[in-house]
Amino acid sequence: MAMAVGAVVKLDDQAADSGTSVTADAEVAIERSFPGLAGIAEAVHDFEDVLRDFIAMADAETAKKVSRILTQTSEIEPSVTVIGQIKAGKTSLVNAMIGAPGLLPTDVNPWTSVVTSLHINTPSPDANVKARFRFFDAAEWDRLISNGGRIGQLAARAGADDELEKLRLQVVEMRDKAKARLGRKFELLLGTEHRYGAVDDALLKRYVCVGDEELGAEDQGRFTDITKSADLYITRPDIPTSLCVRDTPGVNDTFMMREQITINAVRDSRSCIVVLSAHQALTTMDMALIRLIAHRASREIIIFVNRIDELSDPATQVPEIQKSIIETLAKNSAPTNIDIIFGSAQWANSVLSGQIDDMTDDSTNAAINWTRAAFADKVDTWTAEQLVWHASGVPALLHSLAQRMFEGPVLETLQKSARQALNLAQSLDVVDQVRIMEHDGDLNRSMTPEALDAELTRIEQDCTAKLTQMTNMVCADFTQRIDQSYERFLERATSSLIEHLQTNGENAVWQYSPLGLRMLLSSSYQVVLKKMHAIAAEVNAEAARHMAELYAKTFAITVEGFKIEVPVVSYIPPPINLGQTIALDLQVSWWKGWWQRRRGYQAFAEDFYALIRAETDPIINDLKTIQIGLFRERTQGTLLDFLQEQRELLMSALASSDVSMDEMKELFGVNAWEDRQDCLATIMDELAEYAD
Amino acid sequence: MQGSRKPRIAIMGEFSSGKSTLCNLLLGARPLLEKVTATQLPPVWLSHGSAPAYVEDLDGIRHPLDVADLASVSLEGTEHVRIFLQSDLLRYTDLIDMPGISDPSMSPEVWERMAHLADAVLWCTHATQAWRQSEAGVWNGFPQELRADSLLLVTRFDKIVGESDRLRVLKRVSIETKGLFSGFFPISLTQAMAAGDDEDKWRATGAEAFAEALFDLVQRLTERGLTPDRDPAMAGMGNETDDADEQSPIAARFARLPLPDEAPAARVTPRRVTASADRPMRQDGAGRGATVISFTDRPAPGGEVKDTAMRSALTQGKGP
Repeated sequence: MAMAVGAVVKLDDQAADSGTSVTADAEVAIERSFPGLAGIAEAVHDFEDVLRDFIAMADAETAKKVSRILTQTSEIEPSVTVIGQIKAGKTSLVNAMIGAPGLLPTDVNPWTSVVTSLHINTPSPDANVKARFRFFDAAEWDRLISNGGRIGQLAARAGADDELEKLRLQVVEMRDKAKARLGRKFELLLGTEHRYGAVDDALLKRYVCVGDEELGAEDQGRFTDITKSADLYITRPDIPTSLCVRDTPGVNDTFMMREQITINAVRDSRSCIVVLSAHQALTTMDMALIRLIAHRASREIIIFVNRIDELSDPATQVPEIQKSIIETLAKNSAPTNIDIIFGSAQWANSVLSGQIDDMTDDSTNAAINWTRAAFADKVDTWTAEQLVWHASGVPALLHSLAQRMFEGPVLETLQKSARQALNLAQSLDVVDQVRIMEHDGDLNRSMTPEALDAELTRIEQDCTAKLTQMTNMVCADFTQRIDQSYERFLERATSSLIEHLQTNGENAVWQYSPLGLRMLLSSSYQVVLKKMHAIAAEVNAEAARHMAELYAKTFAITVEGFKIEVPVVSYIPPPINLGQTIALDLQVSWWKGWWQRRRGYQAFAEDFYALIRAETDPIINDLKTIQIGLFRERTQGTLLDFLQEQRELLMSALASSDVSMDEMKELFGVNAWEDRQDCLATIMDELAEYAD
Repeated sequence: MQGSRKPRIAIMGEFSSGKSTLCNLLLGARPLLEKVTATQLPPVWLSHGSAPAYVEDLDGIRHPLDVADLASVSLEGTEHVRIFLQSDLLRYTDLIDMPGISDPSMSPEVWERMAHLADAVLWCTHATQAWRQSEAGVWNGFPQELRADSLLLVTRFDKIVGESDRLRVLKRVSIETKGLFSGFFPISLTQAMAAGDDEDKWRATGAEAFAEALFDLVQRLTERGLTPDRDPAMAGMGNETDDADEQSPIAARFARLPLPDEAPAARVTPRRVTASADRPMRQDGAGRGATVISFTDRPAPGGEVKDTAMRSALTQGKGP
């Protein structure tokens, strides 16, 4: 299932229907085609067609089961979260990606303050709701307000009094602003949500923008301070598939308070685009972003270097920037095989809104310079719009993204669904074989429903017990390993501190990089993840084998090539807190307060130990309880679902095989019954292609 | 050398915020690497003169340096690089070009160990991402007295298109940096470099307003009298060679700032006046004479006298 490569821009058809009320002013002047996304849509449609064929030929009971699988497939909504520093151009990029310049409001000053999920072509859970804005609940708001959230906790632990004071002022200001904008009783809104039947610019500005009271529009940003997330449901006929794009507020601004929200938004998506600004390739803040995602597979990350329109000579500078990014990633033990795409959301939006003639001279010169270098072979054949569109990097980004979505969540869902459907078909096929043999007088059936139930129960108990026992062993091992290396890290850090004090005295500020601990935890986690997957695969395969044997036993047959498909364990999202900023990550200036208030080696060592413990315990606990718990839940859930599914299939196969072939032929007609056999064989062949 | 020393002005900011371009605009030469990616240099201390460049390591030991090898200087083992240039601006003040903050490949210690030497800072912030938390975090760690003498340059200001957007960025920057600098200046450094003799262009880039503020700053610092500290490198450096100085547009503006008519003629040098005589003279300073000042190429023997002369020139520059 290879996908076509290379974006194509068609100019013959002007202005694709924008599909939302806000884009009326932003006519799409270039019809975009998305070979990558189209590939996804095609693969899903083809698969759905197989399922529909299956439904058409199956009995009512089976059809209902296949329909459930069909629903699961049509709900595929691959998603991507866009993160970056403030003013890196995330929102502009999101607008360009979905081909709707001006959909999400942008500004010269930091503007986005809420995680906005754009659901493209995904039906809203409530058909009348096109926009949903969730507010913080009371507990979240309290946490934010009472101590400045996580950043306040950090500042307090690091002894950054000035920062704390500033945070306190910011929080007071934020609360006062919320009060002024929403009235004294604004707290009543906490924990609730607002829904709208349509999306428009003014609406978005009320909920997701920072706002700028002095500009006159007092309604702007009215609910922003208390809004946690926004979900917008948008139809874009030019985008061939369902898609979710999440825009996040920039880090490195006053809203760093919301780091946890960004972390959660990143976790909600399988793919992640890190937007950097070309004139400043990769700063320490960007490294903090990379850290958030460093424990993910590099295939899940794309770096988009935006704003190359601001470079004076992109042709020369882009390779330099690329080299420097790769070096920096390597130096910081981040994955280096991440795709890096260069471009300019501004160029893309200029093309999309038909305004490439209005670009500034510098921007135009940069575009010319870059197209000559990057698309030298196309300069003579493409129009200016096509050149600028490709120079913007947006088509390449979408293509790269589509490939990841296809290889990841899409293929996984198809595989999972195909295996379920295949097991359904296998069961039908076995029953048919039984009928044929019975008809031919070759069958010697002895299994009663009671005996089958007993056999099934035994398999169920054996398999779940085995999974639990093996999981427990791996978990105990993991917990012990993590605890040991954690203690070793603390010891090493503390003795390194004492050594520093002995050589340099108490006045020199000292820092200890948490990189080692993170790498250690991350690799321990990867190891346990692999082991857990291996265990799940082993137990699942064993369960499938037992089931195949039980089929043979039940129907006293051996069908050539008969096997039960092994269920797929669903994706486990990466740990949440591994990438969270901890005190050790902070800049030296923060440490000075902590440092200056301590005297004596012992005090340093003890306090340091306590500080690191307090900061890292949540990460360790997250791994030991939440992640492992999630894993147990997923692997057990998969096994139990599979066993239940097989139980139903076997029991109903046993019941339906009582209906003889003659009766079946009577029911369907002779030809139809034979057609059914062929049809089932074809469907099984087709499903098998997706199942591997 | 007794009495006073020249001010030292450090150029700081995040990497790729225009520090090196600013340095080059100030010096009129291009001795420093300008790169989009982080420039991996230790602090570079620039002084007037023709002495050979050196590298001072962490133990205070100096090693001769061929400026051509600047890029290969070790970051870890170097406290700073010292370069002497025949650049007219350096007659009035030393410059320290600091490495960028927020460079993940460089420990902040690299610039922290030099920061105490600065009398003032020119902080560069990139207009499209102006004044970020990471900048504020570092700047808040500097002493209030230093901050009160420092200027914030909002660089690449030409990248903000449209008057209202420009005003809004400046408004936000002014609110967020309130009390943190003695002033802030939107500027397009590359356009200023390219302005040449075009007076209007030069003004439009914001360079003129900045040049005046810098002039005032240098004057203020010099007037205050700076206690000399360790800097044996400057000993015996009073007499410079006769090589022509690099001409910097900013220094040229310095040279053209008006003085009262009674400015002592003895200090007026032929060279800079000649250099700037090609340009229309500024006549507009209310209550100020139109005499163009400059600082002599051939000072009275001994740096002390030169310093005094310069100070008095600057004092008079304040004019009624």
